Amino acid sequence: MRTRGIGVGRRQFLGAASAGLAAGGVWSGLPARAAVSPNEKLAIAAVGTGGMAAADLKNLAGEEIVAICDVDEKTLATAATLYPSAERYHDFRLMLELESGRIDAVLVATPDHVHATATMMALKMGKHVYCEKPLTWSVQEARTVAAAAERGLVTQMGIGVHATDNYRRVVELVRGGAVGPIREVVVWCNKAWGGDGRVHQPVPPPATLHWDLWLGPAAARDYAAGAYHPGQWRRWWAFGGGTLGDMACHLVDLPFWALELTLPESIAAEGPPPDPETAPTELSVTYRFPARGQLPPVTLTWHDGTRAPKEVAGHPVPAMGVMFVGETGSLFADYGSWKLLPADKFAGFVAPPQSIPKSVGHWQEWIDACKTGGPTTCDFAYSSRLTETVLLGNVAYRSGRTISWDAATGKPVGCPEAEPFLSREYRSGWTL
Amino acid sequence: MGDGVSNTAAVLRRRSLLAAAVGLAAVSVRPGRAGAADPPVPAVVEEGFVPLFNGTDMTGWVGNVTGYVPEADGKLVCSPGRGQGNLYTAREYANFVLRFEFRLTPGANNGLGIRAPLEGDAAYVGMELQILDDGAEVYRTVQPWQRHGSIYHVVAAKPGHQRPVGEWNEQEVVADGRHVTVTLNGTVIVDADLDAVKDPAILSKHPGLQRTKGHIGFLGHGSPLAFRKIRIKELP
Repeated sequence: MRTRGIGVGRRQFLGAASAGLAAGGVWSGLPARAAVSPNEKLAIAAVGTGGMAAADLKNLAGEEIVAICDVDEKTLATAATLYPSAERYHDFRLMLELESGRIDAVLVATPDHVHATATMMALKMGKHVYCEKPLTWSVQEARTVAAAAERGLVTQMGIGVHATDNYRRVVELVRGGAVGPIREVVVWCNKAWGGDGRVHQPVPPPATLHWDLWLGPAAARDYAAGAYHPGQWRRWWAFGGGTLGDMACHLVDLPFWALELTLPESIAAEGPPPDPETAPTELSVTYRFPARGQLPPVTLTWHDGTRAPKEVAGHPVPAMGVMFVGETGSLFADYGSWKLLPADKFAGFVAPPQSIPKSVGHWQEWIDACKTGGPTTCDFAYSSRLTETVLLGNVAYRSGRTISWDAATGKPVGCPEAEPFLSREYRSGWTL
Repeated sequence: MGDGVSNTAAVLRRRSLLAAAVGLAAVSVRPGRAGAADPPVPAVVEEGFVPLFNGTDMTGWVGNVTGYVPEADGKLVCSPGRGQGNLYTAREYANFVLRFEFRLTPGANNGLGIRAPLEGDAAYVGMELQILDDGAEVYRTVQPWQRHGSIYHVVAAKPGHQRPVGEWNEQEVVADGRHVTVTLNGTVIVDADLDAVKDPAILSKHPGLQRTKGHIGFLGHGSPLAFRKIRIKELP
C-alpha cells in the first residue's frame, strides 16, 4: 500500500483508472495487453456460463478461456469442469477488474437485462466483445453500447444463423430481384414467452444462487422458485422481452440484411391488454421502414404465439419463418431453407450466382477479427439497430401507442407514453 | 409449403453450509497451480491452523469490509471504489504463522499489516509487509525496502520470487517474538531480527516495531487484487 517517496504514486495510474470507470469514462489507466497476433490465442473472460453461454464457450474453446463468471454456483461448477484453468467469479464487475490486465476479449451471455452493463464495462476497458442477442435490454442501452463500440473494438452479436449459407442465398435472391421490388415482409414465430398467469410466492433463493447479482441493474425483487431462474426470465419485462425479444433478432435479421433496413419510422403493436410485469403470449407488431435509395418503403409485420399465421400471402407456412412479398412473387425462408412461391410460376428458376462469401462461422469471424482487425458481420453498429428495432415493438405494445420514431435522435415524436419503456434506472452499484 | 422451388440448404445464504465447505477448502494445503484456479478440493486444514477468512462473508474482520468482497472459490477480492481504508482482523495476534495466497493485477499495491493498532498508519504504528507488483514499470525505481515482502522502510526483501502477474503466489509470514520471516513461493525473502534494527531515525519513526501484538490487516483499497486461503496458527 505504501509507495511514498517513489515519485510516481499509485493514484496517478490506478486511481485514474478507477475514477474513469466510476465516471463512466474510458478505462484508460491500465496497461493494455499487446495486440494479439493471428498465431496467438485470444484470452477471453466469460460473463455467464450456462445456457447460450455454454454453447458460446464451446465455440470459443479453441482460444484461451482465462476467467468465467456465473451467479449460479452450480452452473459455474459445471463450466469449471470444462475450463479448469479459468479463474472463477460470481460478480462480472470484479472479474473484469481483476482480469483486465490479461484478457483481450469478453463473452457476454447472460439474461438480457445484464447485457449492457457487462458489455459497457468491457468496452470501456478496451476489450473486444461477443454479446448474445438481443444486444441490450433497452433501446437507450442499444444506442449507448453502439456508441462505445465505435472505437475500433471488434464486436459481434450472437445470432449464429446469420453465418449460414441459407441466409446468404436468401439475401442474394432478394437483392437479385427474384420476386421483384419488396414492400412487404411478414415474420412470425409461434413461441409464447409470455406471462403464464401463475402466482409466484417469494421464497429464499437457493444457497447456490447469488440472487442479488442475478438481479444486477434491475430493481430489487424477491426470488421465486421457477419464476425467473433458470430459463423463465424472458417472460418478465424486467429481465427479458418476451418472444419478440427472444426470436426477432434471429428472424428479422434476414430482411434487415437483405433489404438494407436500418431503423423504422413508425411502430404499432396489437395484443392482449399489456401487463405491467409480464410479456404477452401473443403479439403482432407493424414496423414501417422508409425508402432506402432505390429500394421502396417496407412494411414489416411480426406475429408470435397464437397469432403466428398458418398461411402467408396465400401460401401455407410452418411455425416459424420469414415471407418476402415482392411484386412478382413471394420468397419464404426459415433458418435452413427457402422457397419461391407460387411454385408453378418459378418452375425452372435459375438462382443467381453466389456472391456473398461463405462465413468462417459466426464465432470464428469474431475470433479472427479480434486478431486481424477484419470485419464481423453482426458488429454492434448493425446489431444495435436490429436490437433497437426489435425492442421498439415492445415499447409500442406497452405504451399502447403507435410510435413515430425519430431514428436520428432515438426519440419518439409526440409520444411521451413511450418514454418510460425506453430505458431504466439502475440499482446502486450498477452503471452503463 | 406447397411445391415451391426449394433449396433446403445444408444448415442447420443461506450460503452457510456451502460457505463452511468453501471456507475449509480455502485453507487446503494443496499448493496453488500457477495461473489457474484450483478445482474444488477436499477440506483439508493444516494442523493447528484456522481460517481468518471464512470464504463467504466478512465475519471476523473490521474496517473496510465493503471494499474487500468474498468471491468464488474462497477468494477475497479488493475492489477499488467499493470502500475506503484498510481491512483488519477484529482480533489481535501476537506470535503466529500466517499463510495466504495472493494474486496481483498490473501495478497492484497493497500491504500486509501485522501487530497493528486499528488507528494510525500501520506501517509506522504497527508493521507493514509490502504487497506490490514488483515487475511494474512504474515501480522500477522503488527502494529495496519498498519491494514486495519488505518490512516497509525497515527491512528489504529479497526480490525476484514473485510469479507473473495473474498467477497465485503463496506467502508465509512468521512473527515469533522479535523474529520475523517472510517466505514467498517457497523462498525466504525476509529473515529479520527486529532487535538488530539500530538506526535511531528508523526506530523513532517506527514505534510499531516495539509492539508485541496487534491486528493483522490488508492495507489498501486502490488496487484490484485477490487473496485466498488466509489461515493462521498462533504460536505460544
